[in-house]
Amino acid sequence: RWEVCALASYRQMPGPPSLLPPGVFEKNREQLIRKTCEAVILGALHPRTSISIVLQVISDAGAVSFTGSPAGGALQCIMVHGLSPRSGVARQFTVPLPWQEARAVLTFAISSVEQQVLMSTSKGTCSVEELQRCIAAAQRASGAIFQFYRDSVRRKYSKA
Amino acid sequence: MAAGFKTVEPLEYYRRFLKENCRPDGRELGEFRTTTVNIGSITTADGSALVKLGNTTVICGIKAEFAEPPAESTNKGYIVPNVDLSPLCSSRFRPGPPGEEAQAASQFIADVIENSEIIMKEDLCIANGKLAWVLYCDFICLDYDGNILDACTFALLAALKNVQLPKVTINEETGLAEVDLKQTNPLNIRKHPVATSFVIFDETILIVDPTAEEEDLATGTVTIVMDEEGRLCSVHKPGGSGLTAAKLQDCITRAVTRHKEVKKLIDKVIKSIKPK
Repeated sequence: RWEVCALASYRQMPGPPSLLPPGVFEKNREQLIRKTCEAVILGALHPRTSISIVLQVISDAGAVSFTGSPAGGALQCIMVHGLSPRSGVARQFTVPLPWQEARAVLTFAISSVEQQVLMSTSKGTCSVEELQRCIAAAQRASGAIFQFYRDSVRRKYSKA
Repeated sequence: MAAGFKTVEPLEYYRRFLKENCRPDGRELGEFRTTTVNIGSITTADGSALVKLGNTTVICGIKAEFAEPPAESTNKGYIVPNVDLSPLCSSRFRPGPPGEEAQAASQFIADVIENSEIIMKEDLCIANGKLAWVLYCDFICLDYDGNILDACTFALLAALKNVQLPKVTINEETGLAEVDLKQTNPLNIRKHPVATSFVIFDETILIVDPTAEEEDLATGTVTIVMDEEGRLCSVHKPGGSGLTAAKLQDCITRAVTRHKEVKKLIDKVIKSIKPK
């Protein structure tokens, strides 16, 4: 298949030590970001292309450590630099309280096509109904983010 | 003829079957492969289980050791999972440090343990601030034919049910731990998380329990982990094709029935080894 291959590299801020060997958490995140981006980029338009996505968490005020932002940030970069996304990605997490105290944190990537769920991860437990409510909320919120993407790309290209 | 067609056009070959709502191995789209579980397969481990999903085989061994509890929560023990996908199980893996898939699987299992609270870490504490159990849960894949996450989650649950920890008392005079190997206690398993994986074919068709071949051809995967109360412990969808909320609901409905199947199987196996 002549498709693009995305390589993601994700670096976490030093946090509390994990029981798993170093790098396992990052590898999991990298897989999420890579697979989300590969599904989103129109591969056929970029044959024999390898895209490296390097993400470094600089400041974590809660939600950054969830994949949503890295994936969204990566896509923003991809669009600005002229690759063609098949669909956009938006993200939403349910944070009723400061997220360390939340019972469950759900992260979604929502596609601009039919508002489908592209990526999802969860922490903690939730009921099926809560999941559906969160997806609905994420879909609603994705509209604002897609508008932001459109505005930022328009602003960039109107200067040229 | 069919073999040639399959080699040249594997995707088209699969589509022909999917059109008829079945798969090349004769299963329906929502059907799991035969699940086999053997508990207590490794006698030298503190708990072990071997799980087969069709050809996929995963063995889980649990080793208990002593350790000092973490400084920030002195009444807790540790559970450390590790998934090993060695070259033994499939030619796609190479010798050396664990690859991305193995590491992602380890993290997935760690998340399931954390989210589902299968065991309260407080139960692993022996003496507050002094001594706690560490459970090393090692998974080795013996045969890789897709759906490794479901097999690992099931093996973890079965192996944890098999763990017998010896009674430990702290000698007040010497301050040393004394282990009484004659008196053993099972672990207190609070939840029974069961994973159900799906792959998405051609962005629309959902197939349960994919083989390695199906995983390669598919455009996306979803894994849903559910406990007996119907609460979702994990909704893991690492990218790939999108799913509508309604499709996701279908997956959850299938996961509920899968949980019942697995629970029934494990109860039966546990019961069959009890009378000894």
